[in-house]
Amino acid sequence: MKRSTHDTDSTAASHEEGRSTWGAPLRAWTETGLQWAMLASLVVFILWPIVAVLRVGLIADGAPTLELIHAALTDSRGLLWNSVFVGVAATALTLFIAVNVALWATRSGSRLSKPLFGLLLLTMISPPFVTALSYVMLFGRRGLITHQLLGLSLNPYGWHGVVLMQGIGFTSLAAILLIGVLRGIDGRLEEASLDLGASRTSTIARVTLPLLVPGIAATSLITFVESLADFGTPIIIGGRFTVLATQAYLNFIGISNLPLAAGMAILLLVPSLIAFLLYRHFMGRLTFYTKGTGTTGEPMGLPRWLLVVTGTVTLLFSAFVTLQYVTIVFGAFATTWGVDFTPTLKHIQGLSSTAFASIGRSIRFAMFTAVVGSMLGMIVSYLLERRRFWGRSGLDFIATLPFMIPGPFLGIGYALAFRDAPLALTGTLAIVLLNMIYRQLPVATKAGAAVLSQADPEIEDAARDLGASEHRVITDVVFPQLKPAFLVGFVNTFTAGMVTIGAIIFLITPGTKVATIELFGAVRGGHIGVAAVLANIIMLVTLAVNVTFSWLMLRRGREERGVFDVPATRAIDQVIQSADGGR
Amino acid sequence: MFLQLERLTKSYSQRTVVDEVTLDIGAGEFVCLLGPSGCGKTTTLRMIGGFVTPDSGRVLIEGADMSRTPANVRPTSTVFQSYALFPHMNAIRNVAYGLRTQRVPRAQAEERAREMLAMVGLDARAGARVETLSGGEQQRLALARSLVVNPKVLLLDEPLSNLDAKLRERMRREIRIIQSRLGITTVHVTHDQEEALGIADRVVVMNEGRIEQVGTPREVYEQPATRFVASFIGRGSFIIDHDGAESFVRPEHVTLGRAGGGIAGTVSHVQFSGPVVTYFVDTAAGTLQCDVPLELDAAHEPGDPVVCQLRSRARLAS
Ligand SMILES: Nc1ncnc2c1ncn2[C@@H]1O[C@H](COP(=O)(O)OP(=O)(O)O)[C@@H](O)[C@H]1O
Ligand SMILES: [Mg+2]
Repeated sequence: MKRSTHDTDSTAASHEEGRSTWGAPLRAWTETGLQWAMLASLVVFILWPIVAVLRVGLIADGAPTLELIHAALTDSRGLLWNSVFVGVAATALTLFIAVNVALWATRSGSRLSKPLFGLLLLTMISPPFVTALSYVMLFGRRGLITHQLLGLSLNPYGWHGVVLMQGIGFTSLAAILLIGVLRGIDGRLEEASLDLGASRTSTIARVTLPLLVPGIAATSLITFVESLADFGTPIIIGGRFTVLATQAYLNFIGISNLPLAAGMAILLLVPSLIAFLLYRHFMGRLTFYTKGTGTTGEPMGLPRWLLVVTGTVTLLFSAFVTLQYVTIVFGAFATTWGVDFTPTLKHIQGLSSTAFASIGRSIRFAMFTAVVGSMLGMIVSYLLERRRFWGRSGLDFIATLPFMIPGPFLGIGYALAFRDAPLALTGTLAIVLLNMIYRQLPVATKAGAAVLSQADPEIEDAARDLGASEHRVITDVVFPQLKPAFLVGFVNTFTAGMVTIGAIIFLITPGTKVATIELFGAVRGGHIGVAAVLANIIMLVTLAVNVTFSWLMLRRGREERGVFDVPATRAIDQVIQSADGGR
Repeated sequence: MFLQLERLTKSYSQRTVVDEVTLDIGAGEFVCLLGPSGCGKTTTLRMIGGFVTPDSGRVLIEGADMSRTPANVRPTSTVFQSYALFPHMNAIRNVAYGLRTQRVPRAQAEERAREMLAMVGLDARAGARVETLSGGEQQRLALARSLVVNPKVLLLDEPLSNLDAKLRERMRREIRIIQSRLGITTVHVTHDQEEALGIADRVVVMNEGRIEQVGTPREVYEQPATRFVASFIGRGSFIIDHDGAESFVRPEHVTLGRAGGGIAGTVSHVQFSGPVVTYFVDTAAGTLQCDVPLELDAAHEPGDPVVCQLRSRARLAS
């Protein structure tokens, strides 16, 4: 407590004291200007699009109406129910696998834990419909397993596939987050429990799992919202089963019924908000317990039965995921998947120039937004953590919003908000980039806040004390410390830029078409070979850039610090914790 | 006077944390602010350093009002309690930092930083990363970093509190030696009375934001002005004189005898502590603590009647 009060005072002090020298008033003005600019930009690029959706969805002919919501709600296909059902089922599946994998990865003591972590990182960066693509290739009408091996000719399309593939697709990120939490748990607590006579099984049940609860809750929430927002998987493998996100997309893109699309987006927001409120209600102020100081021995091993269970789940999961990726690699070289497996380079050679252009665009856009977005995140986190000013908690709240808002909502929001003057951006490159930046802002911001809240503000005082101007304090002392957070922000924004389409699909034009959109088209069009080639390229590029960038930044780093370790998990927890604006 | 504090006052949400603190400090003097945790020592120091703006009152250095001068242009330099070393710079770059902000060329800055590191005995660790340094080394590094910029006033905020007992004593001597050699005016904050008495030219005893007493270590020890000072520093007993006034007696100022003039009482408890044996004697004026050097100990037992002679006492302001 004392620390945070300290720093607010020292800033207040530097403001007041600023008046006696010449540079100081100027400095104070620039800083106030910066704060207002940030506040304004967040209002315009986050709040305003949200309002735009609500306006279109809830107001008709100048009067408030629930007609559109009603229309979306009473749709004969039970859209809302379908969305929630898939969300809950996929989340349950993800959590089941992820908890097992995380326990095994951190507690089995196996040398295979490292390669497993690598596999998780690798699969985390794939576009969500890559799982759908591999599903079609393995279990589709001409699927490798169902058709070629088992000789079946099933109709695999329906909710089962959607739940299964979402569940598996979201597992990698969930497991990585949970591994981070498990690693952060103070091993001495488990030692104490064993020491007090508890068995390993009851130590896991009464100490480890309760400490993992905040992590489980946070991951469930993320997975649930992700699932709600995913329209690609249901389109590709849902068959006649359809969900809200999909219908919002089809209404918007297909038949341009914008008001109905807005209504559906609003409806989509309801379960995510409820999930958020539940999370906040039950988790209260509970946060992640992290390591105290002092050394511990090796992490406690798992009891035999649990080792068998977690090991089996981990093995099945890894095997399935590996199979998926192998399938996609081979798919790129098979003449006609499911019919003619002769190796060929024709899909690669036949890649159209528009496809190539889209890959180039993806890389440029993702790179640009990652750099700008993480910088922005660092600045916002600095203002939030180290400055006290009017509108601070509002800024915090707004900066967190994109995280709990399903992608399509924000995509539709941008499309609706920036149609007209003074900010008519429809069809421009700017609208795409802005959306990519602001949509990922929460993670960068909260990663920064997590680092700064851990860092000693006296370090900044020390720099001032030694003659550094406010500007130099930031460049010499604050930013260098923020490096790991910058990296989390960069990797997150870059990866999102390369692999997601949830929001920007509502904004692109032929001139701004990116590789994921091209891939989505190829999958929907049934061009499996081309889709596989694109998927491989996207994954390779994303992986290469992330690895290179991490290496460059952490080259001189201290220990081997997993980029997605505790800082990232804590960042996500903070995003959720502060989502109500209270801190 | 070199450094003057004039009625410095600071409140946080209605609570006055530093209350009308007035103090004159001479050039080259080593002054300790001593008081229990939470009494406002750090806040006072931060007002001198320019990190906290006083609600009222002034800070003057060589007669110039510094109250509104930002920390980065104030000729003061602080060694923070947490050391606040820059974690992303090695030892020498930490020290050179203050020179670099003054636009001293890199080579020259590093040269001077190296000299300063030598002065605190860290020359061998110049290239070391901060987190690889031991607590004592980090402490020295923080000191070197503050000294290299040649501050007019050096501010030390509990610089020794993170060190173990042995090291603390050694660093206490080293700090004082370096300070004397450079002749730098120093304000040192501590809650450890032994440290304050051992290092300072003058001790300022604070309580609840106010100054209770200012004096040499000897004065505050032997002539505590208030009840608070008496009980905060060292041990001793409060007794009520015949005129009803209260005074304070140090245990080493009491002589114990079996008979003769003095205050009669009964031994209630005996404590052995190495060089001295401490007797607790119940008398009509109150319980007296009395230290008897080991070689003079007459081995009284609880219950024995004794007579206490007071060689010196301090009258307390009520
Ligand atoms: N920025 C602040 N905001 C609110 N209260 C503060 C702040 N800084 C210090 N205080 C309070 O002022 C009192 C004195 O603090 P401090 O000067 O740090 O004491 P000391 O250094 O003597 O332990 C404490 O009760 C502390 O909680
Ligand atoms: Mg203090």
